[in-house]
Amino acid sequence: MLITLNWLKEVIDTNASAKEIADELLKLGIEVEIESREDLKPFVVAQIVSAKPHPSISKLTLCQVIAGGKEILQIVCGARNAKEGLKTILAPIGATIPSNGIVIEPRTLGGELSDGMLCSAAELLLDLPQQEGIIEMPLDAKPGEPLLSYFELDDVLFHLEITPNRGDCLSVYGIARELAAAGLGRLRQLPEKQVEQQHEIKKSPDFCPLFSLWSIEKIQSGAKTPEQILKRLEKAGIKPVNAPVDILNYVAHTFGQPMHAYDMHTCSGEISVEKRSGFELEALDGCSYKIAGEAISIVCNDNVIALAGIIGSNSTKVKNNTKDIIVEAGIFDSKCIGRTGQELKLNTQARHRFERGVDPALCLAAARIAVNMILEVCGGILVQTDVRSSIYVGSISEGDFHQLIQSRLTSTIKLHLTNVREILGQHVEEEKVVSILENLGFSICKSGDCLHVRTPTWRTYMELEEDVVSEIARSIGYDSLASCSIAQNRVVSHSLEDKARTICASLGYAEIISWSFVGSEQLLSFSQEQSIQIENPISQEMSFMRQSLIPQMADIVQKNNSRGAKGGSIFEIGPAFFQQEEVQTLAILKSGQTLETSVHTKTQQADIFDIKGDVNRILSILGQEKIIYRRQALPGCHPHKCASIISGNQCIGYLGVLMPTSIRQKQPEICFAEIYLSKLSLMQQELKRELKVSNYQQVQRDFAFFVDQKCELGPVLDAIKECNPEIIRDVILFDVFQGPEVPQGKKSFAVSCMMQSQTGTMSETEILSIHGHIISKVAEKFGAQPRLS
Amino acid sequence: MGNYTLIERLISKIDLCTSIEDLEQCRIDLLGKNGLVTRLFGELKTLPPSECKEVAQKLNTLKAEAVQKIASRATKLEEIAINAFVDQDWCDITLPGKPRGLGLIHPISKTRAEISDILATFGFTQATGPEIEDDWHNFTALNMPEGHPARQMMDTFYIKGNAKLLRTHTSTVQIRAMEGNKPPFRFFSFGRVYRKDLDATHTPMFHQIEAVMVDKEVSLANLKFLLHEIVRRFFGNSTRIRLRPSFFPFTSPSLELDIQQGSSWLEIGGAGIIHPKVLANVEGSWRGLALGMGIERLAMIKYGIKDIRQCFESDLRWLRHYGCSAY
Repeated sequence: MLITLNWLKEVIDTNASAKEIADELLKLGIEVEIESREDLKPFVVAQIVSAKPHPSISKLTLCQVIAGGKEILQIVCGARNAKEGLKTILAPIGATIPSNGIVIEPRTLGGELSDGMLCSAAELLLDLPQQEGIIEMPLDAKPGEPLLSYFELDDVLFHLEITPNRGDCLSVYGIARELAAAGLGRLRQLPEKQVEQQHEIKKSPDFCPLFSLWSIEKIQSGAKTPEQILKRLEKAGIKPVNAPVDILNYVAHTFGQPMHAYDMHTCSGEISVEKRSGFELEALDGCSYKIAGEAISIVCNDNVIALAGIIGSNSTKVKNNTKDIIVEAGIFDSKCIGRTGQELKLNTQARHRFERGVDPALCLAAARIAVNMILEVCGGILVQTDVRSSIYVGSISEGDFHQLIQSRLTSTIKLHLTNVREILGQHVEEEKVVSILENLGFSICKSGDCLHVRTPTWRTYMELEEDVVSEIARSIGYDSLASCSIAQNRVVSHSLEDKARTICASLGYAEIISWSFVGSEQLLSFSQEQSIQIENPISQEMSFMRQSLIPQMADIVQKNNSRGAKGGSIFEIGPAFFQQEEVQTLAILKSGQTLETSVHTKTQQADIFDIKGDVNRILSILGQEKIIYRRQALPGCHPHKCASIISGNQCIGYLGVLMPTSIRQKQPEICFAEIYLSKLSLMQQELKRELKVSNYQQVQRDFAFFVDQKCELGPVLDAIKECNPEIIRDVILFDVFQGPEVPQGKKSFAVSCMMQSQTGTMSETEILSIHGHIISKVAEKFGAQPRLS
Repeated sequence: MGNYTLIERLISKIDLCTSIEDLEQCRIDLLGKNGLVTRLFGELKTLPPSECKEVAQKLNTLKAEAVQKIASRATKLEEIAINAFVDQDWCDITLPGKPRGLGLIHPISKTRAEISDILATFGFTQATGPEIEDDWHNFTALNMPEGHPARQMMDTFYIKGNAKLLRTHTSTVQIRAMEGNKPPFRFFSFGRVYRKDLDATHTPMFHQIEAVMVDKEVSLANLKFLLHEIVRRFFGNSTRIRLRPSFFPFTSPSLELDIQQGSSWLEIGGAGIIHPKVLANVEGSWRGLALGMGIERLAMIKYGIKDIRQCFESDLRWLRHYGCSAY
């Protein structure tokens, strides 16, 4: 919400500076930003009394200028519009130009003295329609008059952020009331009752505890809104419409009571407040709204003429030539207004206020002030006899009107001082509690061991003891409240995720964080399940919940490569979203050079086995044993270079190489693995058995075979080990190749077997027997031919 | 006795050997199978017992001297040889070292780790909840029934085809952690949250960390202490903090936390005493405190990051600058 200092001073008598007010509001729980043009203080209106060309420099004008004082200043000016009689703005000696920070000093130009500078709107950072040349001021500007006061820029603007529980602060008067309670001035008396009408008091429904209509006839068409009101509305960000509407908006902003005006001739008949649903309204904002749910409606002749407290209809609005109007001021149920507003996604000033609560006690006073102001500005007469002039109240009572509002619209909360102490962690004297609350407008009544606290009519969202304690806390000030330590009790909390992050970083991967949502072209699903879609995405590129982290990571590596990186290793730990579950996923991705170019080693391009090695390392540190990689075609991947990762009969992830996107440009392969951290079993790590080191000699035997080109070697290595698991400690594949010496359609591979017995040094016969066994098994199972060297 | 002189002469040659081969020849001449010392030991048995002992002693002394001298000469020659070898083994030490992959942790993760570590010293452990949530956990259970104006403070993403939404805050985890469990609690939740917003200070996805403590006696004074501790330990002892009253539907009293940076105050989080309607999710009479902070905000202040969007652009140059070591 926006208000100005001068506007504020209309309702509060205070000497506090803008800064003091802002500081106080912040302490009270209202965030403030001050916007002021103090920098324009030295600038004044000046009039050029004579202008002639500079004797030596063309395009410059020699101006004689008066600026309030008796003396005439000579100023050299380069603007084309500098001419005799013009009223403009002078930067006197010592002034700083806002746009560039230059301080004006006397100087000589082509032998002629210049005692200041005539300014353009741009130089002063002023948003005026005339930007070219020096500012041409209206004729009513007086030489010597400060620029600030002429444009009313001396009025400081406050940007206020009002929390949803403080509807009472959504007005100039509400802010003043807070400041007065904090001791920063005194609220001024509301204007005396200046108008009154003979009301017919009627009963209104529960959702509308108060409703009043005021008929004004024969207003002057085309009456102008007073300049000051226009300026203030502009500062508050409220668009001018016409005099009666501007006045209603002005009073609404001042006192927080939203009001509406109808063209009397478009609503002939009795006006009532009802709940209606399932209709359409052409609203005065030019839009058409379909209302499905129940909305509080203002009805005339069975037509809805306004959505109460939100917006009026287009056909009944007050136009510039409207002569007879009806002013409406009422109180509507905040929850109903909120629901309708949310349904229509329509946020008007009126809805904003009603949703947060409007003070019923000020309703009629604000209406009287507004009606009076309309009569003053636009002329016209308040009609006493119109059938529509009426006040409806929730229940008809003989008693005092205010008392009625009090009892129906405020609540009483029981406050125990022990609870104050327990919530705040410090004792507050009863006297102090009472004085704080009374100062804020609460009324207190002591009863037994607790205080009965009655909320003021303007406070909403006050229901519980805690809410009253909040008021006490903010009045004392959070910085002054006690602090009390809580016991230290260290727990260790290193999750699987923390561990995975450390391993990946130590393996050389850089962590990235990417969006949870992607565009349709970035959707990749290894499980081929339907993606979850966002109803109201911020853009098409962020409209689906991702099932894989890989597409975004591939883009990231490619973007970095286009910036000159030769390769990238990145990882992310984040959620993947499936129909039935969210899975915390670790994704690693490598592409291009595995290491920076170096004098020591040849550069290598990342391939799937870099990834496989890293996956082995990661899973082993995370306690996953017996990992199996199962060949499996994956969407979007190279048909041969991909597999699922299996642990304990469960698929815990995938690895692969993305399908190349071009064959002509040789692109580095994009290799990745995705591991579903939430599917890792944490109990899998077996207890270690005792280590038995054999002291007998270890024997190494190498074997070489020819096999079919497409024979998978993984199972071969397993089979060799299986020949004698007790003796064969390790099988290392150290060579695979195809070449001239290798028969067509075959490949050669070579392994080293490490053999060692636990019981004795192996004899040559034993070794030969195992040797034979290996050769025959590999030959038999895989059709391999031993290669004789 | 001339033999002794011969031995001594041979011994004196040891230190003159300039190669391992010369030294080996010396050793053979003295101590080899047919070496002088070996031979003289062999002749001992021909001597009369009276002389035998004396000669044997003498020979032993000489043998020991020879053994020791050969060993020390061998060491010396090895040393000379090593020195000669390394002397010619010149190296350009100014060449770059071998490249090692540079792994890094994102500043967001680093910040999370630091805050959760501080919380861990006070006994807070991590609780989790889904990011695709229902209206109940995100709003209603947190005292934001339908039509509550506070719902407008958070522009929410909805899921197509069902009534779910992307959680707008980590407070949803409060409810999930309380459901079916008994206080006392000390837990924190961390993770991605979503709001429809994009500019230099807002991204549609960002991270929050939230700590919750529920016990028989928990007060605003405890909350003040905890907030001060977190700021002191995270930003440093001299950081000034300011608490301002504020409003959240799920806490009362509520406050916001600012820290001073230069001449301005920056908001880093919100906190308060848990609203009784939220605590209605657990049985019995308890009080609680809750505090929440934006991780990006903390990271931006601590590491001098100017634009929040950079956190999610994954420019490797940016990551190398702002990233942290794994250890």
